Amino acid sequence: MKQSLSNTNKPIHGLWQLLIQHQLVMGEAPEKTEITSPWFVKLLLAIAGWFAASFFLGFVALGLEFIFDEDSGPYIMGAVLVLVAYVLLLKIRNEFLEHLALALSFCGQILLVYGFIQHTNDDVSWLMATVLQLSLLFMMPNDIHRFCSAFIAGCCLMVTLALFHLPFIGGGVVLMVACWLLLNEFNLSKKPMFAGLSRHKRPIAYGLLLSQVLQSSLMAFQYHWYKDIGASVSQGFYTAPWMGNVLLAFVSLYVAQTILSRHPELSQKLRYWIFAVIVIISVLSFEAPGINVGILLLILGFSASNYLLMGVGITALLSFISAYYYFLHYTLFEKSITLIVMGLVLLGIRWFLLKSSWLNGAEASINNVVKESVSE
Amino acid sequence: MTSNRTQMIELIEQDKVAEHHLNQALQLSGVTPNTQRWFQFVNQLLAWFGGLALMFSVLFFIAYNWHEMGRFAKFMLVEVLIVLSVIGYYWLDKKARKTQQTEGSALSEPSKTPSSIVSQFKVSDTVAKIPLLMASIFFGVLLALFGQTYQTGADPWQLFFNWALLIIPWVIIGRLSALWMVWVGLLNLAVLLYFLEFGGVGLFGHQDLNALWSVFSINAIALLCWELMSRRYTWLTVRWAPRLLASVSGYSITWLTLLVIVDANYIGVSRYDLSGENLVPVIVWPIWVGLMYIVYRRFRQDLFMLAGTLLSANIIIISFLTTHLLNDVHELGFLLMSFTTIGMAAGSAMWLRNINKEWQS
Repeated sequence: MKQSLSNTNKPIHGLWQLLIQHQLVMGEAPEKTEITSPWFVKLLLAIAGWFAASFFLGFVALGLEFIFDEDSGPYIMGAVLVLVAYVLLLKIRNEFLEHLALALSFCGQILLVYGFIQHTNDDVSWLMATVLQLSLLFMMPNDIHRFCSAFIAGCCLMVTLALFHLPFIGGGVVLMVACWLLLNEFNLSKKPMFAGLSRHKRPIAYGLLLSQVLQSSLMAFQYHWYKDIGASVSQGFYTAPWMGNVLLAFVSLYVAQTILSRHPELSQKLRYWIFAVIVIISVLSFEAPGINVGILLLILGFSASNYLLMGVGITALLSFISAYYYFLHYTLFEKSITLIVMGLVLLGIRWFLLKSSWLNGAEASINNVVKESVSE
Repeated sequence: MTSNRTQMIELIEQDKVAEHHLNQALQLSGVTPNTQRWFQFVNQLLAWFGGLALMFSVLFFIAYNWHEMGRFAKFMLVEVLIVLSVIGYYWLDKKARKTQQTEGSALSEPSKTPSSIVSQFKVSDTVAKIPLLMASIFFGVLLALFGQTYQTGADPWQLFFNWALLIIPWVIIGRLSALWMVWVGLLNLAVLLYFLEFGGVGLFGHQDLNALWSVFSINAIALLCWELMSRRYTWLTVRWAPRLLASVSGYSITWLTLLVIVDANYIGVSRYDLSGENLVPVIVWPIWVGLMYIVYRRFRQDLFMLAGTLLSANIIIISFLTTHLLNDVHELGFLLMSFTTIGMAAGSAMWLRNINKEWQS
């Protein structure tokens, strides 16, 4: 035990020494920061927060019934609860009060949304709920709250767009923002307005990503969920189903382009090939969009050693393929053909990579770059 | 141990890395992969995804029951695919071993480069096992096709049980965690379907109880075996599989205990009636919680397992309090429940954080 205690800072100092040797870091050795809870503990707390909020709502509904007598009652009570939660999260560093604040805020949000539903129609209620969640996402100084707000904001935005006859746009927009945040997760903004928020972009990205995965993969048993909420699809250009697939393809290309820009040693020819492969996979998954989303998560996760994201990607893929079996939109025969073509194309690409001569060429050029950097 | 990713995030947030050195620092720390690791990843991704897509396509195709295609053609298709998969495994496994040997000899000679892109793009040990996984699934498709064609009258649970039984040799030689989990999944499915079919048969009076107890037992035993065997076999050291087994067994025993607390008359369990079979979960659940704590706190440090056990304890305690407080003190009960939930969640988080800190020190 004594031996292990003496090595308290060893891992970070090992990496620090390596970075010092290459003159990539500056200043004194870093302070030992407080150990943060892993993702599953945070998820447990978020779920507990919502449970506590539902109990608190029960207390408000039964004990403070009079607030529902006035039209403005739920708004005032909801706003007060959210404000109290904000102050608690901002000022107090106590575990119990922090979770109390989460429960109060969630309860306040339910009351505010109840007010929207009472006084406006469905379209406006969903829009206002989206605006509320987006505002809280920027305002609330707590990562669990940011994650929950981002997740609900993503879901509300997709429903809102569906109610405004754009059911296939929301998913792509949410995914694009999430990918942009994750691809820039290590870049901290220097602008005072965004400096604080840029340090907390991960929970926002995870929340948005989860809302899209829920829609495209986990909830895929309700493939036409927008019809269940009474949204209709007009025949306009922007509302066509293929629009969502095209947006997903653009997000994939954006992710590929950003990752490729980090590797200047790769030849232009190889880049074109990679873009072509991305387009092929995107087109093949037009009838099975969950596949594209799952692959994207795996690539995003690998690009930053984010194994949680890779795990979500694998879960999304398995969940989607199970749901895909039950899609009534296509016959099992059509689905089988889609999968067989995809399988053969992917294995064909791999075979081509193994056999083609330009892989050896790429290797030679990479080795040259490595040698040059070593000699410098 | 803290991962390089977490360490880099800490360094960046403490402004220790200049913006123009960011990409270089991330690459040097291994957080962002270099070109060689990307090629290796793409190799695995294409092989796994291509193989699984083909596997599911056959499954979907047979389920479609295309009448234009004769039954012998269908049998031939599936059987040929099984044979091809097994041959593919044999061939790829041989290549993987050869690659390993070549890399081993290259490592012993420092003049050679051990991790060139082309060598990384060759067959790895994991990729070689994909055809075996495919063969195992195709075998189930063959059994289903047999039942579909000859209308054997067999119950659905028999399909999954026979499937699990017949692929045992491949599962053993495969030494692949995913294949073992498929096997455990088949057993779970067979048992669930059996009790849905024959409700009254079993140790307990209701099909739900029999199914839940069987699922708990299968996964708890599988978890125990996994943890014991992983001390001996390195390929069993992956953590996702035992975590999945623990989650399923934890879910079952928590649900069984909940049935004693909440009103579950529909399956013949009366609230707080601790006579007969109702007593069993009340005895087994605390033992399960205690064992999980001792094993994953003392012998094999795993915060996920402790968090899951704590979640189960929280659910049971809150459910117990809810049934009392909400009936007796109404609106005040809601307030008390809210504070209790917050208190327990906060306490759990603090306890887990302290353990994590202790393990990392």
